[in-house]
Amino acid sequence: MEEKVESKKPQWAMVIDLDRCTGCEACVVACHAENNIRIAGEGPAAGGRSVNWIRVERYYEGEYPDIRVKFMPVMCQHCEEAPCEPVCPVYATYHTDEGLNGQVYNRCVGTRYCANNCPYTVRFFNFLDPVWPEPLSKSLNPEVSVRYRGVMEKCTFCIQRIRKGEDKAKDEGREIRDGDVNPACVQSCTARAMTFGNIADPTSEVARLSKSGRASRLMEELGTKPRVTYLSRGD
Amino acid sequence: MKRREFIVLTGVGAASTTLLSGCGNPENALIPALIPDDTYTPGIDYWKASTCALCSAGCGILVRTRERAANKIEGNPLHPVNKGALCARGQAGLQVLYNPDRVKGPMKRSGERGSGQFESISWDEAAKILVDRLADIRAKNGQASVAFSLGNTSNVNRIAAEHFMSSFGSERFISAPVSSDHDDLLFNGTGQRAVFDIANATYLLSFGARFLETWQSPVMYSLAYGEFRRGKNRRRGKFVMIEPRMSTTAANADEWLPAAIGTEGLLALAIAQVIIREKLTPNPVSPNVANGTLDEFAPEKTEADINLPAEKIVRIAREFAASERPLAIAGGAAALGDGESIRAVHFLNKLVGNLNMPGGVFEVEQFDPLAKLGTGKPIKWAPLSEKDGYEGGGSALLIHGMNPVFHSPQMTDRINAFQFIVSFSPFIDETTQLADLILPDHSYLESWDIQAATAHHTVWHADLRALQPTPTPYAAIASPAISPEFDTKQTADVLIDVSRQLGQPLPFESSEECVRKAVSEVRRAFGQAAEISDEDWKSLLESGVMTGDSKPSGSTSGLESAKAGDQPLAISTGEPKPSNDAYPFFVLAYEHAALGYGDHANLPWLQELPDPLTSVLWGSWVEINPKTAASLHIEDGDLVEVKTADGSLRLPAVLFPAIRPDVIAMPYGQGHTAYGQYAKGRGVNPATIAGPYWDAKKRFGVRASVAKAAGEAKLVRFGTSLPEKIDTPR
Repeated sequence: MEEKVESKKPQWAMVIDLDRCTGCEACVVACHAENNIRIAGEGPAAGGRSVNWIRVERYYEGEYPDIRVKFMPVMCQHCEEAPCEPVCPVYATYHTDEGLNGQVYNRCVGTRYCANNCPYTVRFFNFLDPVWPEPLSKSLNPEVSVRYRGVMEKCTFCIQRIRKGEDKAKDEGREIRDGDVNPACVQSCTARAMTFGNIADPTSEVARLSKSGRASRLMEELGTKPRVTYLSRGD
Repeated sequence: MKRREFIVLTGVGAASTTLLSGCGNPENALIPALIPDDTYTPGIDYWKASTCALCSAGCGILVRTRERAANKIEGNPLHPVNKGALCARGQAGLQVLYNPDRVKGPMKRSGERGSGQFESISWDEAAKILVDRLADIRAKNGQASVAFSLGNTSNVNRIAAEHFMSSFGSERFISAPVSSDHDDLLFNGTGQRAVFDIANATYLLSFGARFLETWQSPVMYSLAYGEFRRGKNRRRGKFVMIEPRMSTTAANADEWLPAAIGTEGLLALAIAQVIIREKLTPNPVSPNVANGTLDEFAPEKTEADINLPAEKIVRIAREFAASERPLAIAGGAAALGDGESIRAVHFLNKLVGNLNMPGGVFEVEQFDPLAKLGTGKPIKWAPLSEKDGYEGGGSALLIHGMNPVFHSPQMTDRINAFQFIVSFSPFIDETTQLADLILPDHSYLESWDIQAATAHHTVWHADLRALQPTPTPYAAIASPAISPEFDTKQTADVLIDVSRQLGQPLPFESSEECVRKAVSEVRRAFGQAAEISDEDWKSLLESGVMTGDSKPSGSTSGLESAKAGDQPLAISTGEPKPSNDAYPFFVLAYEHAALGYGDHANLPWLQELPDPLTSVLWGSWVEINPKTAASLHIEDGDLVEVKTADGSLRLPAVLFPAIRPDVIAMPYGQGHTAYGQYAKGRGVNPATIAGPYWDAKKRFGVRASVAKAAGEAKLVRFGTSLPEKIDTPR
């Protein structure tokens, strides 16, 4: 894997407070709208072909009537030691110097090795071309590529919004500030459960929250070093 | 050239409609875009303010547009209700605008009524048909022969409809039924609103109110819930939910109490009894119980009915009363029995003394500057369920924002009895299929509107070192975010045209003018000059929100009054619950968090959104407790038949661990027989066996049987089927 270079570039990370998350799935539709995620349709969805860059998992605990439910939004964890990266034969899956797990659609040849190697099952392969009955295609975001059959796709932390925020800060001749960049899921979150920012900046909200006593990372025992931190529910 | 001259020169309702494809006035072709062509830059995002129309909460939205197409909807951070957040439904609004099944222009019926055959006509011809038929029906059958059925719609359309009907001389308004108007129950219909300060409560007891999904204002209350859980400088609040079937809201609770269906009022009184007998409150007022005394509601006497252990009820009562800022709210099945339960629940708030206190219930005065734009005559709305409103015969029915044929299929004959049916729906839904004339409204993103209300927040006041309630009157303006996609026309503008042709012009000439007049009223109410400069108007359309001064909360009279608990509560103990061998279960038909009662079943993003608790997408299902299912030999995914006295439905079973064993539950939303490619022919419509959603009294008490049926069920769930097997692509 590539060497870690000391960089002044922002290191993007997310914190999700599971005590605030209500499982409402506003983030899911926001993500679909922002990232041109195709509609699978009933048949393909039944075959496991629906695409959700972010999904809300739910877990039942206990027996009736003493049942508790836990919700957990899961998207690409943007691992610092991402298992998906070294297996890509064409370098379509790579790590950016801002800590993002990038995906270059034009390089992807569809081996699906990356999806096989991802412990979080957050990578989605396009088995079919997307269909946008007119005039639905007018709602496509012009800043995000539409993916066609044969390529892998996944959460990008809304890279287009990151670039926009960085460009704006540069235009204004300043460093990027906390709150400049919010992916679509974070922007829409109805209970303000999600926080996004530069974890390399110790004053940022994500840096502060990720040190919380409630903080943990998903399957961190695998050594993937995820960039998404979860704050557990309290009782 | 002045607008009036332009209209006169080009001929009333002629060029003004055809040339500009659906815009009421020529200026509107430029104003909606707000950016004149010479300053328009390709590749730059332009954000337009509007108001979400996918439920009645009225969240402020910003629409991102580029190259004159809308590509994203986000919450408006300036709007006091949703402060920038937006729910799943609101995000899916783009698919209302760009839905492939929208009605592309005015149409008239060409086949038999109900055949679904229509032919396209021009707006001129459409207006002529409408004017001629209405004049004819009025001449033959009198003024009252026109009924206007008006559901979820913009204020501008509603005000125009009021004037239209008033000038026509008819008072036959039929309203969209609201299932149990919570605030009317509390305030006896005086128009005040109750706002619950969930953010600052320390103990929240919800009797079936799904405030995180569908109840009242879900985004506002979700934001408050986030603070309730993990707000800065506060302890985590405890949340207890009482509900026969665990909803997504209940799934977030610290404790879920599956009380027997319809016993919310009993439970509230049992809690009250404990609080009073144990002297847990400094203000031990006893409620006025119509049948008997409060002592009869002691948990020890009612535990069997409520079906929760008395010790648990006593513990909850103690926790509730001991908490610093306890709060009780009620909704859903608590509306059973004329909403007496809602009043009983609200009595708990009175008992712990949280009325108009931080973390409690606030009574908010209506801020209604738009009233001045109406006819001044109070409208008597006939509920949809009332027979008179829908007497057909020699009458005409104008219908907007409602789909009664879907929501209450039993009403189809009554609607069909009308001689002339006009639908303003942008989609061919089940009711519009019966129409003789379709005059498609714009989508909300292409329309003008204004909403005004009082937002209520409790904020930390540094000087007083206390939480201070700050009710803030505001108005939200929606201007067209995008030019009309199709040859549609805002209904207010249609009514303006038609009234003019009938010789009774309305007091404004376009929906835009109506909004401008409303803005003047709001400015007056805020103590500003009524006239607005062009500069201010433009910036107002960009921000979308105008707010007045916050003032401290006013009277507590409404909440303290009889309605809040002094008036006898008609709740009695030991109501006989006949065992019913033929129909052993209660069927709970509930509002689908994303699809609502079916109005959003035509939006593919919401169809493909997994239900948070069952993961089901693209279809219907019925939830059954696993133990019940085992006794009936039903397995997860089996096709089952659910029967009630009204009929039967076949749908897949989902074994759901968090539902009472004597209750089965299914969401409204699917079962459309029209309404476009994404909705039609999918799942089943619970209204056919459990009644329409607005009939709370009936639908929470419907008995049913359930049995395994022969045949293959179609149940699609997210993430559960990963084999390399795929159906034919669409």
